[in-house]
Amino acid sequence: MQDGIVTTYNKMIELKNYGSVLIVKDTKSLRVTVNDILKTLQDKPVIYLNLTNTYNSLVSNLKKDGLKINNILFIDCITRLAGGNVSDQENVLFIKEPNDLTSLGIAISQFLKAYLMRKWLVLYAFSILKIYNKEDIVLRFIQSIFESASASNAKIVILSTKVKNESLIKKMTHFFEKVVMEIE
Amino acid sequence: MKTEDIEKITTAFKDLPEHWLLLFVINAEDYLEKNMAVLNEVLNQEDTVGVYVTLNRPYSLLTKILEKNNINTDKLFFIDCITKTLGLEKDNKKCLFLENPQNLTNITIAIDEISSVIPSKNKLLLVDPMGTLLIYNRAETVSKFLHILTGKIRVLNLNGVLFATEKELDLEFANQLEQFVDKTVDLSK
Repeated sequence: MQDGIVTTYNKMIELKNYGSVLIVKDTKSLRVTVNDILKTLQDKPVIYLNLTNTYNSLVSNLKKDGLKINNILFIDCITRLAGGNVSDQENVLFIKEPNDLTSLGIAISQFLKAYLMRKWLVLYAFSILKIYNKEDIVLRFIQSIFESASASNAKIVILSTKVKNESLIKKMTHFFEKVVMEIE
Repeated sequence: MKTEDIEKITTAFKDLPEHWLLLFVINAEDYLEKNMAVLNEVLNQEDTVGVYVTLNRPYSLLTKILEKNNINTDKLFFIDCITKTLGLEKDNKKCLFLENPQNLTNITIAIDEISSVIPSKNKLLLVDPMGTLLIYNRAETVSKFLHILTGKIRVLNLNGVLFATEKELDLEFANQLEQFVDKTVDLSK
């Protein structure tokens, strides 16, 4: 059940209290927020799906921002799509393209099972999925992620911009315990 | 140009990751002046060699404008998506002429080809202006292209500068572009 929509939310630490959080912000703030969340969760196992950046670039940026990445498992949906060379690594799974939601779902489940303890699934810029998939398909995918997370003792944070995503966000909000809206 | 804009351009290139991708949003009235100021700043960086994807100015005209503005074109290769549509193609070793801005796959192939032969480690891709893609393609197609293009810039370890005119950008397109880049520099005010 949705706990409420708040307009100001600066204490990322508070997020740890919720099983699922949806954060909707403008692009610039969203980028800062996701790093704040990852900093807050540095001592926790995190599965991080970033739909706007490649694994190598992402790792380089996170390190530059002083974040430890030891506890993060990455899912990369861009490198293969952009023709980059990928090699198997323990902490990253490369998905062929963002319309392959079956592979994406399997990758998430695989990583969720990799940690036995309480873990976090952080999904950044999820609305990019809408470029490749119909809205109802994305919605069903999100629902399936919730089911996997619930079965694996995982908490979920999804971050998105609002522009042109109002309809999807509206349909999704009831999945979350906490919805954070900070639109300028 | 306002001092504030000059300062924005200078600081835009500071405190960036090893490889970066920037979006410059410029007002139509001062587009050329600000566009040249950005080029001047970025091409002055050591060892930079750029690939300039021009979507609305033919290569022959663009090089004249660049030279007039004291931009060193020796440091640039070009992908021209407009000349052929005007039937004005002339062979040139520094420029690849593509059929039109509609064939987005060809643009990415051309970027791959040119960037692979540039010897410098500090390779730069410039795309100018992004909004033109929306004239020739459906918004959905452009969105996918942007995702792949920005991914390719990162996969190839290029640095990237994307230019856009404020008025050509609808809210959704601007929002997507902003999500794909490391930093947006607003020079439109």
